[in-house]
Amino acid sequence: MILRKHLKVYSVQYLRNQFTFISYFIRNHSLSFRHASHKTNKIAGLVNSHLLKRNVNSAIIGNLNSCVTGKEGIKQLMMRGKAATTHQEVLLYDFISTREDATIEEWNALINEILAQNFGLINKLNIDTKVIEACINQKKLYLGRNYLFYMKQIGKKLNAATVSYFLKLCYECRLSLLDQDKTRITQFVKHLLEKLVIFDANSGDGLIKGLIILNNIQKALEILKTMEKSCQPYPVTYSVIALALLQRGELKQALEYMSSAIEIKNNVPDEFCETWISIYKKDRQKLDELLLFLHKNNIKLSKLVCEHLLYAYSNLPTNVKLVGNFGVINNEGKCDVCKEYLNRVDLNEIEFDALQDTFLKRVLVGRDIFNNTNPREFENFVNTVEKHAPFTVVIDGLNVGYMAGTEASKDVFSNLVVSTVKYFQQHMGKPFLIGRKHMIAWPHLLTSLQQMNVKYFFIDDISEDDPFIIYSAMYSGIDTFFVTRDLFRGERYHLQSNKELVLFKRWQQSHQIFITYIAPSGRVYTKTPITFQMDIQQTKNNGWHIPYKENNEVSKDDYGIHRKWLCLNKLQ
Amino acid sequence: MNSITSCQLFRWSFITFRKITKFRYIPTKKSNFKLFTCQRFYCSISKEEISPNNVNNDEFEFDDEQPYYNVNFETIAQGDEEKIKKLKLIQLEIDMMSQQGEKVPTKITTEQWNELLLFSDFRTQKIRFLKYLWLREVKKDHFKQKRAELNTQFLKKKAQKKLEEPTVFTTSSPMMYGLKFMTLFHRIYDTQINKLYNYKLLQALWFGPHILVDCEYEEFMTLRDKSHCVKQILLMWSENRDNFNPFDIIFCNMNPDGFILRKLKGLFPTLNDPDFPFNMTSKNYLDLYPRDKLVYLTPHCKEILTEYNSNDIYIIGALVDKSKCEPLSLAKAKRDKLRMAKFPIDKYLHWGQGHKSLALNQCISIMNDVKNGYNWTHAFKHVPERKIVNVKYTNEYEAEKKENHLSAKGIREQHRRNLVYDLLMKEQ
Repeated sequence: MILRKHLKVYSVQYLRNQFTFISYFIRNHSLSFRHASHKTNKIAGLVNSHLLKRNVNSAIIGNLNSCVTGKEGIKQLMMRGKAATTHQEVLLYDFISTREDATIEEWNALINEILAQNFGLINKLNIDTKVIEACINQKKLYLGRNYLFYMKQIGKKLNAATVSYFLKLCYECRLSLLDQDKTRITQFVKHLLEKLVIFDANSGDGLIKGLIILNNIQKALEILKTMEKSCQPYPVTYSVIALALLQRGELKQALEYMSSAIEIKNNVPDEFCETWISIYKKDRQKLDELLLFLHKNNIKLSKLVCEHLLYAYSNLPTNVKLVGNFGVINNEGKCDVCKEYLNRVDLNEIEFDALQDTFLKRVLVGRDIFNNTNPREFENFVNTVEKHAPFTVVIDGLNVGYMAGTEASKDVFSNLVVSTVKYFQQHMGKPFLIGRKHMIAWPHLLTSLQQMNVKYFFIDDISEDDPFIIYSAMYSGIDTFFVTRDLFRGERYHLQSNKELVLFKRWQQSHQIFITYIAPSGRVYTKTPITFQMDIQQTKNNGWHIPYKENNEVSKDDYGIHRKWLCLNKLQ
Repeated sequence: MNSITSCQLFRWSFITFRKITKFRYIPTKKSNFKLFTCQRFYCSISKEEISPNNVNNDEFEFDDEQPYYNVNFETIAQGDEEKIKKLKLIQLEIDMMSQQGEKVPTKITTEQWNELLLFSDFRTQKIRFLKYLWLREVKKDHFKQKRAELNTQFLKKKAQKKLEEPTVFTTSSPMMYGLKFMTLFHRIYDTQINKLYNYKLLQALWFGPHILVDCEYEEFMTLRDKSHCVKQILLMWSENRDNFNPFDIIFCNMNPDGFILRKLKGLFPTLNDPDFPFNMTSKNYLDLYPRDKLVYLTPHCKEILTEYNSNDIYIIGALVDKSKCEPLSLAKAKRDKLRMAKFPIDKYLHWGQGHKSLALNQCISIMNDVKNGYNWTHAFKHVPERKIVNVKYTNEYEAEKKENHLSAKGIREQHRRNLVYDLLMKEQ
């Protein structure tokens, strides 16, 4: 549908300016939509859901709805499914975002309107929590309270979910709480503790937040322990507890809980860093401690936090001061601001051995060795590698051979492989070629490999070659490179813990050589791997280089060089 | 800056403004000079302290209901304490999810509780499963309502039609042939056709071609895949039976306590009747037939099946691997050292999907066509259109022209090359 494309382009980038365009477009095409009622449902739902996610003003949405249907409002259409639910959400969002106070009649009207949509998700059972959830998103404590009183006056009872969500709401708006709220929160917390013997992730989250507001951290920690036995808590709970501990001054515990949050989701909330910085503004050691912790866990900060850091470091006393600026890194790792090079990649040997083991066990052999290879082939492979190790380069023969496409002639394939092997033998030393058995049919391949005295191993046509390449490269030591154009995204799937993933990515980026072009004469043009680390790192002067993300930037799979860094390296 | 603090600052700033204006009021006698009142903004000091309505602020009533979902702890957990704990947790979670407005069904059977127990470590799978159950319920409700609407319309039409129907048996009217009127033929009942088909299957049992279906993959499939597998077995069996020269399908490695057999007993009520030609064993295929005759059909191997050989016995694996794609059938064939083969899909079709595996019923129909003498282009019409981008050849003659036959010379060359390679590897 054309509409979807336009929505994607315009709603993401030029929202309000292009609203007029969208409405004009839809209005002119509304004739075609008028006759297909199911299509209008779809479009209404699409438009609403798409714009809601980007928090557009509701007036726009209402106007769009009328444009789409060609009639005034959607009341006349019988909506089902997604369209109905999004309509309900829009009504709620409208109501809560535009006002701070509401009377009983207004609440009544809203709820009747929402429940009139029979086929939407929101029904009698779950409307209370949905209202409070919307209040959490908009951070409106007063409205939430108001809704509770409304429920009381009607005579509705609170169920467990509304209670926990209200506690979450109180936590979100914890700076504007009153004493009356606190008594109410104690009552709610008591009730939850009595009613629910076990806690699941969501209710436990609300409980812990409530306990933290009441400054009862010990109980919160106890509950966390019981929760951990039965289910996996959200990373938010861990970070909330870490914040509370930090505000009390217990640094070690705070960092422990933060690290367990990072294991689940590789992200540190900005608030944690900002509170740390504001507490320890004048203590250079403690600021360094924070950055060390982030360095260990390979985290990138946001721009806001970096600005605070800059300010904090520059206001320290003169002997401990650090001055710097936001800058850019070039291809070789040279910082714009301080004109120094970033640190080289250093992989710990112990961790590296552990990685190698996991690859052998989980990827090559796996649950069943016949999935990837067979035992005889596996034995042969291990024997050859142990005999002739260490290598300097490991070459993926298939990938290199098919660089010109799979439909070229076999001469082309063998030429490509032979020229790469020659090149790496001249420049680097001892290469190792891994290919498949059908490559034996490529003319002159075996003979030229014998002449050059290069070691090779050919796998059965059925087996996967990626794990073999990785294992042989790792077995030969930390210094071996490998040559493919393959990014090994599939192999990363087998690594489960965050630390292993980080290690593997670091190893891959620093040891993978890409071939950009192989000339007919045999000359090979390569792209060298990235030799410098892309984490928060400490320089020789005990300064810091910090990579940062822009606000609201979506973190993709970063394969290239991270360009934006904060440099805190100068002493004056 | 934190958004909360900025809002607070704003709030306090204009309250002071309000106070100052009070002192600026200068009264005059006849003045239409209005009191300079500040604008009434939304943000005001909390009205709770002011409003008289909310007297009993501190007391709220809580819902003391039991959990909404009934779980039969005895049958599922059988006294295992850990399982009971887990079940209670799951019960809690689903309760909370239904109160929060997530997509959760209203009724859950004991079998589904068993399945939910297995998902206790995988949150996303659990959520997906519950969403599927919810969707099923919701669709049923909508369908019922629609049916009710259509029913009223249908009854109206029926009433109208009755008035318009002509009378049949009058001497002057011509003879009407058709349903509800005259026919030449004796009525053929469904049971008769069934008996005919079953007789054909029995003939295949005694004389005819056999084909094996390997059911040992139950432990590798999720519940969803297993139920899909069962449905495919049903379709496969019926499509095979409809053929004029059916296969005799033997289900080997069947687990008597397993999921598949249990569901099949529900679908085929007469499964265990001695007359009914549904053949299954718990034996391995190696015990039934010699190793030379067996050929395992997998999509992961490199050898292509060019012709149907009536001396060979083909094995199809009853594996649905939509959730996890591992070459399990290949691994099995390698371990048992059987011959392998795959359909010549690349030659005849432009494949549009990712993985080149077919459903069981499609496989059997293709094999049936090939066995009965049709060519591959005709057989591959059983592959659904959504998997294909394009068909390569409309004619079998075109296909044969471009075929690269493996000649004797080619085989010799391959053999020689493999020998050379082995020698070189030994020298190294």
